[in-house]
Parts: sequence; C-alpha cells; structure tokens
Amino acid sequence: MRRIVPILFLLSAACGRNPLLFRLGADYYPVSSIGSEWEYQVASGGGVITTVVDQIVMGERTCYRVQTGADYSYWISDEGRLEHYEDHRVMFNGYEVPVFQAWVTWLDWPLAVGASRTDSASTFAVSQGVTISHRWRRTTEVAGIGEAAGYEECYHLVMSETIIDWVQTGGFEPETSATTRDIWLAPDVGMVLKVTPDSTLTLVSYRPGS
Amino acid sequence: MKFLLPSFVLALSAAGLDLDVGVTAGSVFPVGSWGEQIGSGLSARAAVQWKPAARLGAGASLGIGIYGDEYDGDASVVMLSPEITGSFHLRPWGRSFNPGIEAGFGMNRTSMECAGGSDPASWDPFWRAGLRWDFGMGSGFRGAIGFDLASILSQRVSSDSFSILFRLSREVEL
Repeated sequence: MRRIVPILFLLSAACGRNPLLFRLGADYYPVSSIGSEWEYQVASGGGVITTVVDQIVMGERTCYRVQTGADYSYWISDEGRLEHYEDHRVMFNGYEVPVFQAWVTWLDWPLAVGASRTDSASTFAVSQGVTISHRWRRTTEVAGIGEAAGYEECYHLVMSETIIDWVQTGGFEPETSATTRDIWLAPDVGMVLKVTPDSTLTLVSYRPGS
Repeated sequence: MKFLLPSFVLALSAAGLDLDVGVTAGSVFPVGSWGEQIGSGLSARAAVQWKPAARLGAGASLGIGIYGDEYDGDASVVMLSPEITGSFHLRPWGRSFNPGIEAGFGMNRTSMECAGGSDPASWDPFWRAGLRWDFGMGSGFRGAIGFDLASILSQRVSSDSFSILFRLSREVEL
C-alpha cells in the first residue's frame, strides 16, 4: 500500500500538465455560433466589439458574417480548416478597385507548435484603362503554447503579411506594405490577444452565441 | 532494471508456468470531441500473459495506435500505451466458443504532428476493457475477435475510443 500511494500521486500529477487531448478537442476559433460576442480593450484607449452577425452567401459559399466595429469579415469553419474571405481592394483615382476576392484557408486544424502555412496570390485588374497589379503573401506559424490574457493553453500565432500593389502608369511606383501580427487563440474562446505594430487588443469578455 | 526481465523469465521458467504470448491488431475509432479533427486509425498490441489458472490471465502489454486526419489534412496522432492486463475466459477448453473479457490499465503517451509542427507529448493514465470471442486455430495457436472501449484520463477531458480487434496468440510453457 505504501508503494501504491506514491504511484497514484505520480499518475494524478501527470494528468493535465499537458492536456494535448483537450487542445485537440477544443474550438480555437468559434465563429460558427450566431450571436457570439467578443469585447476587446484597445491598449491606446477605448474598446471594440466583435459579433457573429448572421449567415450569408459570399463567394458562392455559405459563411458566417462577423462584424468588428464598422467592418465585416466572412468565415467558414468546416472540414478541418478555418477559411477567410479575402477581399483586397486598391484605391485608384478615388475608386476602390477590387483586385483579389477568394476564400483562403486561414488555419488548418488541429494546430501544432511549429506548424506553418503560406498562402499567396498574384493578380491584376484593369481600371480606367490602367493595369493595377497586386501581389499578396501571408505566412502563419504556430509559435508556441502558453497563457495569454488570463487564458491557458493558448496557441500563439505569428502572422506575416506582405502586399505589393502597383498602379502601372506614370507617376506610380510599386507600394509595399508588410505587417506582422501576434495572435493568441484560447480553447473554445477564440482570439484573446492580438498585437500589431499599431495596436494591442485584449479580450475583456466573451459571450458564446447559440 | 536490466536484471528485472531475465529474473522474471527465470522465475517463470523455474515455476514451470504457462504463458500466453500474443499480438492484437485492429481498427480504432476516436469517440468524443478529441476526434473531431482526427479520424480512425490502426492499433497493434503485443502482450504476454501468465496463466495462473486456465480461465485467468495476468500480464503486461505494449500497444500502439496511429490515427490519421479526419479530413484531407496531414495531422497524425500516435499513442503508445504500456499497461498491465488481466483476462478471464469462460470456456478455455472450448475449440470454437470461449467468450471472455480483457482489461488493462496503464499509461498512455500521446503525440500529435500536423503541418510540419508537433505538440509536446502528453502522458496520461488510461484504462481499457472489452469482450473477446476466443477460438482455436490449430497448431497450438488461438485466435480471438472482440472489441475494446478505452479511455485516457487526462484532467480536463477524458478521451475515449472504440476498437475492433483480432488477436493471435499461442501458449508457451516455460
């Protein structure tokens, strides 16, 4: 009996130290429930609310429409992946010219430390007789597992995005913009912390929808 | 430790005990939320059981289960499970009808890889139990078909699985 007690103690201590199976079963981006609401605090002041508004058809596919402030984004979480509707536009002569619209995989489930994916597109559009070329590349890497904004077992994503737009007419040069975002996703909650060069969003409250 | 196994074999030899040496293979299906992204897999287990009585067995085994991605992704989960086992069979003399039960308890090591990454492996206690239909196959071999229910007891969630199995074994007298 004196030998069994330490063994049982060791077994119980081993439980939950690394709940890999819990992470496997958790939804790290729950956008499939209408009414879900995330309230974020912005480090520079104020706050922003993200809500799953409804289900619509976008790009010939049924998706969930998510509102953040005045902006909408479109998501599908199905068949082992999270897809995002990319809607890239370039301003030219006072007009928004659509240059790339497509469903692109945002994340592959399940997440694993060290996993990475890269998506890219090279397109062009003609507006007012001028060719506008658009090159886009996004790399997402799962950098680690840890605690963020008070949530445990969060996956830390590092997302790098590069866009090169070129209005191919006199007086215009290719414009390159590169951004890096650090995003932490919590199990069954979603994004709890996002750090970009311009802002830091921290989750204040989350209310799951139905 | 390096003397433990030879000593164990020597002790069994000296006692003239019967051993049942077998391998089990089958299909395994995750049950519950942990299987939403992970599909069915294959399992295999090597076991040695001491037979203190014709109906009873006690021993140890080492199992491996390999699961694939439920969809077209490249995730894989590998589970290794050293365990102690026990079994009871109703009609050990039966040539074609020898129902029984088998159970095991041990530790399970789970590792997961996906898209070039891998999560840290986890060690958790686990148990399994199932029914067996044991039958003779000639030349001293016995076969069995059956199923197991298994559960990994991690703190936040228990992860269950169901497996359909075929076992091939042979009694060895030391």
